[in-house]
Amino acid sequence: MTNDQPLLNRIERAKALLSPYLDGEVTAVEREQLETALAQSPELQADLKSLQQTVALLGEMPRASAPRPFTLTEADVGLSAAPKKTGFSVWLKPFMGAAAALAALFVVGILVLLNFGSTKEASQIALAPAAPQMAQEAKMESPAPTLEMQRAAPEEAAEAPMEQPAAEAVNSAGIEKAVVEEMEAEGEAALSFAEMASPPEAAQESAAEVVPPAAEKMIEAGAAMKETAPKAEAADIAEIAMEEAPMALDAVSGAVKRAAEMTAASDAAGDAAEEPAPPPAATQIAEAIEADAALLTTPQTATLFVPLVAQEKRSSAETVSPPASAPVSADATPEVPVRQTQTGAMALAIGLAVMGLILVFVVAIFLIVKRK
Amino acid sequence: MNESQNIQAAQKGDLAAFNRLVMAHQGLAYNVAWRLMGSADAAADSTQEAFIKAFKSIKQYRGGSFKSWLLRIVSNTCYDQLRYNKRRPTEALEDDNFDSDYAPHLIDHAERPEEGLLRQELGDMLQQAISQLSPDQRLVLILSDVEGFSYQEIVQTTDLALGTVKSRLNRARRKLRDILLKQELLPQQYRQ
Repeated sequence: MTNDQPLLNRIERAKALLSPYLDGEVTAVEREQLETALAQSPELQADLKSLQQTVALLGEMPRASAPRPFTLTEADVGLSAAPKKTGFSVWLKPFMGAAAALAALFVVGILVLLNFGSTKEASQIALAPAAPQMAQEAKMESPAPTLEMQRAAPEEAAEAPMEQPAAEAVNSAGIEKAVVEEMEAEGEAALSFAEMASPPEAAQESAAEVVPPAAEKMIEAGAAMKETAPKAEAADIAEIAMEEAPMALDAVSGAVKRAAEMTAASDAAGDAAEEPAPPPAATQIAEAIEADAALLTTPQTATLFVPLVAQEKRSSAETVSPPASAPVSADATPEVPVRQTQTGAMALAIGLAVMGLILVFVVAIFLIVKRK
Repeated sequence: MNESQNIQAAQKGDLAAFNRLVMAHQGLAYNVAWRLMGSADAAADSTQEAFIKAFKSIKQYRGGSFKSWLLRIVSNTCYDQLRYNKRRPTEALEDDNFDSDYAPHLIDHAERPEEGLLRQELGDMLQQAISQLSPDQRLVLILSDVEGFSYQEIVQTTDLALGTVKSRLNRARRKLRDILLKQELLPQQYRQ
C-alpha cells in the first residue's frame, strides 16, 4: 500500500490537470508530468477522453440569436424629459397641503354633523317603545271631549252672525288654501314617518292625539267662520264642516279601534319577533287613518280640517315630551331641542364651506397673479 | 466610431453610442444569459435589465475588456434572478425545462430538418444537464466551452483567481460528464 500511495497521488494530481491540459493552460513541467502519467495509466487516458467528448459536445451546442434588439430608449433609462419643477410649484406645495387639510376638515365636519343628525333621529325613534301606555291613556281620554264638542257645535254654528265683509272672507279662504297644501304635505310626511319608525302603538297614539283635537278645532273654526264671514260661501263651508264633524269623529273612533285591534294582534303574533323594522300592522294602521282622513277632507272641509290636523301633528312632533293626555313613562328620554341643534350644525357646516371657498379663491387669485 | 469611442460617448450620456455597443454585444450577452437561466424569456428579461444597469453604471468602467465588464453585469443580473426564482420555485420549474418549440429563433434554417431536430434535441439535453450544475460552475463552463473564452477572459469576467477558475472548470466538466454518462449521451466505455 505504501508503494501505491505516491502513484495514486500522482493520478489524482494528473486528473486535476486534465481539464487545463485540454485547454493548453498548463505549464511545461505540468505537461511533462501529466503525459508521463497518461502513458502509465489507461484509467487516466479514459478520463481524458471522456472530458474531451464532453467539451466537444458543449462546443456543438446551438447558438441563439437575440430574440429582439435590446437597445435602450430614453424611457428605459429614465432620461425622458420630465417637466421641471418651478419655484412657484415648490412654493405652492405646502399651501396646497393646508388647503387639502382644510378640505378634509370640512368633509369630516359634514360627516360628523350628518351622523349627529341621524343619532338624534334614532333617539326620537327610541321613544316609540314607550308609546303603548301613552296610547292606551289617550284612547281612554280622547272620546269624552270630542263628543261634548260635537253636541255643542251645531248650537254655536246657529248663533254665528254674518257681519264680515265678503273680501276678507275670500282672502282668508285663499290663505287657508295655501296653508292646506303645505300642511297636507307635512301630514303625508308624518304618516310615512309613522310607517317607518313607529310600531302599531305609535300609530294608535298618533290617531288618538292628533285627530280628535283637530276635529274639535275644526268645529270651533267652523263656528267662528260662520260668525265672522257673512258671505254665503263661507257659511256653507262652515255648515258642511260642522255636519261632517260627527263623521270625522266616528271615523277617528273607528281608526282607533282598528288600531287597538291590530296592536293586540301584532302583540300576540309578534312577541318573538324583536326586529326593529316596522311591523306590517303599523303600515296598515297608517293607511287606515290616511283613508279616514281622505273621507273627511272633502274640498269644502279640507280648508278647515287638514290645517288643523297638520298643526296638531307638527306641534306633537316638535316636542319630544308627550302631550298632557298621554303622560311620559318613567324611563322616557329627556327633552332635547333637536331643531336648535340642527340649526347650529348647519351654521357650522356653512361656515366651514365658506372657509373652504375663500381658500380656493385665494389660491386661484394667487395662481393668476403669479402667471402674469 | 470604434468601441472605445462609443464607450467614451456613452459615458457622457450618449444613448445612441451605448446602443451601438448593445448591438455589438447583445448576441453574446443573450446566449450567456440563456445558458445560465435555462429559459429564453428569462434570458431576454435579464439581458435587457443588464443593459439598463450597464448604461447607468458605465461611468464606473475603467478600461479593460468591455465584453468582460458587460458579461459580469449580465451574469450578476442572472444570479440575482436565479436567487429570486429559487425563493419562488413554482415559477422557475417550468422555465428550466427548455423547449425549442418556443424558441424558433434558435433553429438554424440552413440545416436539413432532421439534422436540425437532432441538433436541437441534443442541445436541449445538454442544457438540462448544464442546469444541474451550480450557477458558479455553470458560468465558467459556459464561458469556456460554449463561448470559447480564454482563462484570462474568464478571470476578468468573473473576477476570480486563475487557480479558482481552473479548479472550478475542472469540477464543472467532470460533473457534467457524469450527468451525460447517466443520460447515455457519452459512450458507455467511459464509465468508471
